Amino acid sequence: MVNHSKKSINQYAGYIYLLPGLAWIFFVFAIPIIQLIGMSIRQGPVGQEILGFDNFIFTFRDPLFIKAITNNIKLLVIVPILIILSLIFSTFLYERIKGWQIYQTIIFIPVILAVAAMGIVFSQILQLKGLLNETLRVLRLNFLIQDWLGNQGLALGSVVGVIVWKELGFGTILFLARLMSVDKELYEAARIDGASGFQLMIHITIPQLIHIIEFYAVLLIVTAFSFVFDYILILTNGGPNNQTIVGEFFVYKYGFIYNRFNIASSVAIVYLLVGIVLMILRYQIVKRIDS
Amino acid sequence: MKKIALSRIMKQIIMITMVVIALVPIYYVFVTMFKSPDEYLFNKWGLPLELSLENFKRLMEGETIFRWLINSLIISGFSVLISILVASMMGFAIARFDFPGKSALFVAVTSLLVLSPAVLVIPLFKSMVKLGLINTYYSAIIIYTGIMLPISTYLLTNFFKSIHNDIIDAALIDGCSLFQIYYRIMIPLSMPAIVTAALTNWLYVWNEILIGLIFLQSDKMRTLMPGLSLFKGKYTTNIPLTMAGVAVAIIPTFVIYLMGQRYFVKGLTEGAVK
Repeated sequence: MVNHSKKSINQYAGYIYLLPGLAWIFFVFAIPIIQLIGMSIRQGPVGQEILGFDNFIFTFRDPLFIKAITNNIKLLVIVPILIILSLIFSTFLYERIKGWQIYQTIIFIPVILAVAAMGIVFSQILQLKGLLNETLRVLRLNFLIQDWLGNQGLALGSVVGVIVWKELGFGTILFLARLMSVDKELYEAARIDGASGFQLMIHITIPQLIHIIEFYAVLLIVTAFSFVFDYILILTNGGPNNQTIVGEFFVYKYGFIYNRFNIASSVAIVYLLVGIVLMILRYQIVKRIDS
Repeated sequence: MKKIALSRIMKQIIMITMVVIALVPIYYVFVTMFKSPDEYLFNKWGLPLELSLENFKRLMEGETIFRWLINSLIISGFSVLISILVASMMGFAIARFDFPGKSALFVAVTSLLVLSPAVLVIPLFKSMVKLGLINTYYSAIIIYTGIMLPISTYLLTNFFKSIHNDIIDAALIDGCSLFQIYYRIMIPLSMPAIVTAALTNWLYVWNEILIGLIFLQSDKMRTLMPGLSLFKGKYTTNIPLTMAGVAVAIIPTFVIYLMGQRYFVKGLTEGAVK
């Protein structure tokens, strides 16, 4: 740090400052992960002592688990939707479209509001007699009227809609912050050459934002696998007929409603592995941004 | 020229549509909360006929939601405070000291923010049962503090690294102790980053439901958002009352957002990328 005489003392002091944080990380992350691994390989699906990977075989044969992980994968559709919409809106804001400051403030509001609170609102709006269907009726689009959350084929799609509503402002502002530091002359030169808005997007905006787009994509993949519990609990409660169950909801329901800790912890382990893959993915992207 | 004007109008139409979609659910909360259940039957989406506070009176009568609000304030307040304190110490060590495995530690700690809390809740629940901490503030505060550490450490370490070494060298020559450097120099200079991290973390705890549902199960100990999620089933017939509850939950967020907009935007976007 400063000079050699101080250095050895400083190193020890450094450890003292690390200590509370490390203790906390151990208690909240490390020990639970070790316990989880222990639990899932020691206990059998019906409670007997079964060693090895029988639990995982049981888990992967469970159609409900397959449904949950498939739904998490299906939710990845938010990645392209949100990237494209965020690119469009951030470009509009970047161009200083009239009223851009107000738009910028409003677009970010859904980001800060609780899913639990707004989910209740959306479950009213998306009801059979809710605002969405009433609006469609007024617009004479009666053929589009649906039971958005009650229809087995549509419920997950409706959840995607609510996620997009909530997350759009984040991506837009993220991209906008990066766009502000792009050299304006790039755009001006291209415009003089007669490039269209779409060409500007393909040849300048996307290449300039590519790292941040990758970063956002990883963030959305993480959301789709690790942070959708609130949406599911409030909007559909996993239904109708388990059509919208996801990993986190599976763990909650089996662990804390049905008290089947063994089944829940085997599923939690699978999501731990998914988490580790995502950590590595995120690390690669962050490393590239840094360099 | 005509083409440009046309595209400008198109863009405005798209933007206004976006704004309407973003605001309609919020509009719905703030008009419905004033209505009586009877009025709601024939006036679902319009403005309320009168600004009656009847629903809020009813909410307060039960007292539960008021208790939940207090619980949320206490738990979010303490978790954020402790998390910032612990993370700032860790960030200070990582940013300013040399020790083996330093960058690996930083990567490992900050990577944890990707992990779903659902992975951790079963073993944590077992530990908290053993410690007798279920249905106490302690369990929630301990877990929230831990879960926020990765992001807080990330934000604060990056900021600490940007503070010039010269300042610290000068302080050392003046005979400052390490603690004085941490407390008198690093913390005051890092206030913008600390406010940003605190607000982002507060938002997370305030809005969180999974941990709240699992570790605070008694009606008295519940926090606001998990309480609200149960509200939905309880008062399905009285939508205006439910919306008054939703309003109570989101109004603090609104107020804080309007006061500290730039910190939120920074904490949630730029900070996450650096």
